Amino acid sequence: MAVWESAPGDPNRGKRGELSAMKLRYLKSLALSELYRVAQSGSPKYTAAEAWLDELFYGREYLAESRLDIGRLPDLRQPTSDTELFEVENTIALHSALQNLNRSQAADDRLWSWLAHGPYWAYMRKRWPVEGIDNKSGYIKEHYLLGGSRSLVRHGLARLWWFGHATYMPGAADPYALTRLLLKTTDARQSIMERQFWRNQKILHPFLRRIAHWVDQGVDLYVPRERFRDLCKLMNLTGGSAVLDCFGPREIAAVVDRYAGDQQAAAANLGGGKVSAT
Amino acid sequence: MPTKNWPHPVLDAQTEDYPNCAFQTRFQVRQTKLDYKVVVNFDLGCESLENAVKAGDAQFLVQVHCVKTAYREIFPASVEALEFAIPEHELRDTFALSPFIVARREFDLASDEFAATFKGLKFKMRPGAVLAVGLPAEYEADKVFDELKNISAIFEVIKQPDRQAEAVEYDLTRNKIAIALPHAVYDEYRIFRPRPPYRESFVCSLVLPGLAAALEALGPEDSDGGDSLRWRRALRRKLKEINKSEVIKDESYKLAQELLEWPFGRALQAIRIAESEES
Repeated sequence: MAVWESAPGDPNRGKRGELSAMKLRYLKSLALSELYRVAQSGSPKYTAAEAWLDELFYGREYLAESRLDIGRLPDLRQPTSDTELFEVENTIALHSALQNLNRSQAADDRLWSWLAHGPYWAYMRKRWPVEGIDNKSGYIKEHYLLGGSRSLVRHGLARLWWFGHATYMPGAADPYALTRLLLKTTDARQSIMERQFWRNQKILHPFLRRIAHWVDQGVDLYVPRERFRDLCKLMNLTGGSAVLDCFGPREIAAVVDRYAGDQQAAAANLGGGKVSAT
Repeated sequence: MPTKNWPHPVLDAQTEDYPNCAFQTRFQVRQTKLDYKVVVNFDLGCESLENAVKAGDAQFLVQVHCVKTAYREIFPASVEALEFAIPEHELRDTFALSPFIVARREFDLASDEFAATFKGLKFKMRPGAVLAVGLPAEYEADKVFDELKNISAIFEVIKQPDRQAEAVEYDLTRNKIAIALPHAVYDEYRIFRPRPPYRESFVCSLVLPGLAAALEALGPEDSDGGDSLRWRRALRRKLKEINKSEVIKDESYKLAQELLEWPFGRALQAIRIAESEES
């Protein structure tokens, strides 16, 4: 079965990176292959202000249309500085709009490469500029195309969807509450998403919830960043002799509690009452 | 599988914690349009772990992991046979099945079958603790069932990204083998490609050299880089069909012709037919 059960789209309709579409579109495989070769060459096209796929595929159909009706692609907020990245806002916006994607579709290079080079070119240029990067082709393949095994969390747009997917709680009053916890700091997000356990929500959700519990208790496990890294290492270590997926919420919480307890005790030994006030 | 230092005795192929015991698993995976049906048979030759399973202290388990789609799920069983299905859309490219026996609840692990180092010792097991590890197996989750029947399906013809390029080049780093043509050549190719006898000639002039190069690049089955690319898996399967386990470098061109079902003969036949139709 084809991933998208696609019908050929009208390539002349709205290719120039507009932000509205009824059906979700994606690059044809041939077009994607050509794009990879452009990326491989570290092309100066990646410094262009405007999207250039129309020019690259001049006169050829390069898009196909899926059956997924998504209404309108959301606007993403462009970073205003190195620290104002609007990751939470953009994650929620993109994941909400594309919530109907299944895993296989959300792992499809043709979709994310199109979105990155088409409708979200301006966002990508601002968030993932190639200027000043030594290994341009590697950088482009990592953030503009969906190549390697870790690319789900590295591609400029796919990562936002996967952050949302990993933390989304359907039916909750605030379904993206855990998304905020995941993206609270860059270091915390990295420490989690570069490890395997984020892939199982039955592990990730209670893990984040318990961290929030300790933050509420005045024990900020996010600060300093080494603390969060060590906590994730402890999770990995625990997963070294057990299958973490078998753990229930209580067992996951126990791992976090053990670590937070140690931190509290260490702080008390140093004469401080709290680990870090939130 | 790398050797692991477990904090308690574990029955696996790497350790000698249970010297006279074994844990093996047989998987059968069948793909349908809707899902992947997995049948697992555990073969456990270890009385103490068998007893732990029977007592409800331990359970068999298969962990499914697909790197491409970030799918990670476990399927437990209290008996030696297990069947489950994974929806088709959860998996893509390849997925791994890893068999385990794990603690189901807290209990003390002790056994007469332990190696001498552990004789007489007791270990407190918590839920999820690994007791036995079997060899993992990897399967393909290709989305197109009959893709591999036609070898040309693992090729795609594209334009060279550089407008000035004059050479035909092959790119083996993608799921399909890309034949990159200079721009002018590509435009003409598109005009002629559907028509016999040109179509057959293109197989000889474009596909055949690419396939020979791909066969040379394929290497032995356990070579670095693995078979993560679709064309590699397709070729591997195709070679198995003709009982070839490896490619000798000098043979690759001949082998490529065989896989393409002797394209020169077919090209000449197409030319003869075209000529006779014209005369």
